[in-house]
Order: sequence, then C-alpha cells, then structure tokens
Amino acid sequence: MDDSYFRDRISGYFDKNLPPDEYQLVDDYLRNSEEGRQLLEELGRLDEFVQREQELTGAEDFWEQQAQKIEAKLGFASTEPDNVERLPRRSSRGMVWKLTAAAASIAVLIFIGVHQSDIFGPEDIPRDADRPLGAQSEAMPPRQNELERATEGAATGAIDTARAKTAPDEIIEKELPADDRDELLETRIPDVDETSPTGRQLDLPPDADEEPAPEEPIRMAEPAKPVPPPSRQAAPGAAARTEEIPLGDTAVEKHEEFEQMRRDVLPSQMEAAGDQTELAHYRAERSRLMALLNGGGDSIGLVGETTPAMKSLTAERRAEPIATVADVRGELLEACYRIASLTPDSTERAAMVTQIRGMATDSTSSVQKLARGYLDKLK
Amino acid sequence: MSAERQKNPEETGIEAVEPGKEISDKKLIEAAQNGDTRAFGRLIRRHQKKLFRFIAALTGSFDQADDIVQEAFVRAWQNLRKFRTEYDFYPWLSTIARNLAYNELRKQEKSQSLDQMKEAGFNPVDKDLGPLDRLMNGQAQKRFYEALWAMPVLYRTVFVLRHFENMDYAQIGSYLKIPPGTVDSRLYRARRYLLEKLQDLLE
Repeated sequence: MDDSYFRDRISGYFDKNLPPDEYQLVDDYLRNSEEGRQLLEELGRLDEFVQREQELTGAEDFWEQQAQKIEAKLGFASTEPDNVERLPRRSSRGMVWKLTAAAASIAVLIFIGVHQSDIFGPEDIPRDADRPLGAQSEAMPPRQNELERATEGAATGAIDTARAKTAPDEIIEKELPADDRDELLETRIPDVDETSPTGRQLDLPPDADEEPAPEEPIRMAEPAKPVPPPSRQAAPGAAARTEEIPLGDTAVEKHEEFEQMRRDVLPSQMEAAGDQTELAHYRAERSRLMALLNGGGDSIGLVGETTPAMKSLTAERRAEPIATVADVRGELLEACYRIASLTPDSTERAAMVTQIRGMATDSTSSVQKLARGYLDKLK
Repeated sequence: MSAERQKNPEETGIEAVEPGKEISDKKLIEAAQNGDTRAFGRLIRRHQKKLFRFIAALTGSFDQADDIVQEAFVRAWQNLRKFRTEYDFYPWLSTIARNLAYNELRKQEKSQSLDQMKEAGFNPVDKDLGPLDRLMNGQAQKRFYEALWAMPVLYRTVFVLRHFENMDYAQIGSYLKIPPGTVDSRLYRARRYLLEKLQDLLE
C-alpha cells in the first residue's frame, strides 16, 4: 500500500471513523511517517479553527428582527402584523383635531352669517336670524335636507332598497353635489405613507374614484393564517382613508356630516352590503384556491417544496412567504365555511357543507380537525 | 397549527416562570403545543442563530438561509403537535431546515459536478458574501466562510454536516444516500481544500 492509501484514510482516522483493522493500519503508518503525522496535526488545527470561526455574531437587533419576522409570518400576537389598525386612529389625533374642527365650524358659521341672504333667501333672514343654529334645519340647503330625510328614513325603517346594497363611498357620490363630492373624495384619501412602520406595503384598496367600495380585503402579512375577511362594518381601507383628513378646510365639516350619516343611517345598509362583499370575496377566493390545489401539490409533504403555481402566486406579494399546500387547504376550508355561513342560497350552502365534510373525513388532510369543527358550527 | 389554537401565555403557565430563568425546550414545546405563541417565540430566539449559521454555511446565501430558516420554523409550528417531547427539539428543527436546504442544494449540485470541479482545479471563483458580511467577526472568519462557500456543494454539504451538525459518517451517508466511504473521501477532499486555502491562518 502506498502513502496515498493512508493519507486518504487519515481524515477517517481523525474522526475515529475507521473499522478497527484499518484504524490499526493507519496507526502503524503514522508512527513511521512524518508527513502523515503533520497532516493529522493540520486536521486537528483545522477542526479547532472551524469550531472557533463558525459562530456568526452580528448585532443583537439583527437576531431579534429575524425572530420577529418569523413570528410575523406565523401571525403571532407578539409581533403586530402590518395592517391598517396601525395607522393613526381618530382618537389619537387629540387636540389638533379638536381645535381644527372647532375652527372649521366657526368658519362655516361666519360664512353662513355673511351669505345668509344668498343661502336662505331674503324673507328667511329675519325669522332664522333669531333662532339657534340647530333649529335652522328647515331652511338648510337641499343637500342638508336630504341627509335629514335619510336619517328619518332610517329611524322609521323606510330605507331606500335601491341603496341598501350600496357601499358607503357610492352613497357619498349620490348624496353630495359633484364639486363637493370630488373635494371630499380627494380629501378623504389621506396623504399617508402606505408603507407600514416595518416597511411593508399595506395593500390598500384602489382609489375611491375608481371603485365604489374596497372589494379586496386588507391582506395581512402572514399567510399562515387564513386570509382575513373584509369587515362588515366598514372596509378597513375605507376606514383608514376616512380616519385621515386634511386639517383646516371645509372637508372637515363634510367629513363630520358623512360620519354622522354613517352613524345614523348606514349601519343596516352597510351590514347588507358587507355580507354581499364578503360573500363575493369568499366565492372568488374559493375558486382561486380550488384552481391552485387542482394545479398539483397534493404530494407535498413536510420536507417538500411548493408547486410552481403557488410560487408564482406568492411571488407577486413578496412580503408574504410562499404558500404551502396546508396553507391553501386551510384558506380553502375557511372560504367554504364563510360561504356556507353567508350565502342565502341553500344549494350553495349544501355544496359547501359537502366540501367541508370531504375535508373532515380525509385523514390525510392537514385541516381535518379544523374541518370537523366547522361542520359542528354549521350544524 | 391554526390561529385559533393560540392561547394566552397565562393559560399555559409559561409566564409564571421568572423572567430570565432558563426554561427547558421540553417545557416550552409543551406550552407551545398548547398554543402558547410566546413559548414558541422563545424557542425561535433560542435556536435561530445556530440554525441560521448551519443553513447559511450549507447554502452560502443569506437570502436562501433567511427564507429557509423562516420556513423551517413555520413548518415546525405547523407540525408541533406531532413532535414528541422526549426527543430534542433542535435536531428535529434542523432536519426540517436541512431538507429544505438540501432541495435547493441538489439543484446547485447538478450544475456543479465533480468533473467541473476538477477542471477548475478545485479552485472556483470566490463568492460575494453579501449581507452575510455583516454577521462576520474578523478577517479569519470571513476567509473561512469564503473558502467554504467557494467549495463545490458536493463537498461542502458533507463538511458542514460533519463540522456544524456533528453528524457521523453513517448518518451523513444515510442522509445523502451515499456510502460511508464516499463520505470519507469527500470530507477528506474538503478538508484538504480548506487546509490549502487557510494555511496561513492555521499556523
């Protein structure tokens, strides 16, 4: 045996990973070979060096950030996901808001005082001039009266059925004169940085001028959770936009009017519209997820990878991690459950229940248990 | 594991432990299995560094390591109920991560054959460290990782499994589906390469 035979085994000898007979042979070789012993020493030094130098350090905040990224991906509460709730809320604006609203109100009153003859007509001036402002509603411009009529309608339950399914933004377009509406719509879209505090894009709904109401729900950062349903009370994007209004102009008053109307008139309308939006969302979501699952990926296990279809899906939203089959199944189950809960169509509900039952009886499914829970709820 | 499973830490008792006091992996896992997200958060913080180092060494890419480590924790959380607490957590976690990484490496391996390596004189072009550079502490470490990542995947995988994860030849062979003799020879070549590259640092 030449030296190369032994040299090739010195690595195994160093790791004590040779059969006893070979180990003995190499041991004998090393006793007589200076070169062999030197190689063994070098391997020892290399091992020490690798043990010493493999430790990656980096700043502590780097590791904390990494941990938080993982938690965000998992949807843990300890790391707040990037969503609209992190945008400044109305209550947090405090004194600035109150002062500005007061200043705007005074400006409007002065305006009305100066132009009351134009607004109310000459014969109304003496009568209304002595009355408190709150009592001037009869003489208010048509827009104001319309708002009041709407309020009255809500109180008596006589809501215009044509408007019952109308989303809030669309109602603004109908209620306000064109110029005012444009101004309001423009000012209701806040000049906020759409990037969340952690730097991710908030997937805000499209411009209000283009879409009457946000059809898309705000997408949470963590797809480990099912995609959250759009809110029934007000779409989150709309809430974010109405929360932020510029200060010091008539938009403030208009905003107040709208808020008043929303509080008094719209809840039931919005409830109905919300159901429709939510149902449509889940129907679309279910179709998308079914297509995704049918595109392959059932064989994906714990160690596997995602399908190209899933990768392309999630490549569009890089802030989110790649979806797994389990994620997709979870979302599909959620969509079916929501449709079954919301749909007025008994056939559609039955179809959804059947699909959920299929998931509940599939022992290989990652969502079997969850599906059973949903079935119980639907009973 | 769905969001519905998440419970308050108070329900699982982890918060009752004094702050700063070391809690065993086993207890944290049991709490996490009951839905305690904070307990799993602690597991993340405890093991992420080692896992990241291992996967970064294996893949040679910050982005890949970042993605894989995140995904590994996600999958661990999703499958935590299946985990039996009589076993250690890290080996299970690192197996998940390693499988994910190995899928990536196999792609690289195909494009980096032994013949190519021989043609290149076992001296491939050095890699740019990228963001990993910020995690390096000193020139020696930087040179070590540069040399490691310049090594063909075939050899680097064996070396990292041996030196970073302390796997023995049989385990490496079984995992990579190669005979222990092949593990030995690849490891020897990898070591010879590093000895040559880092000679001045080892004296």
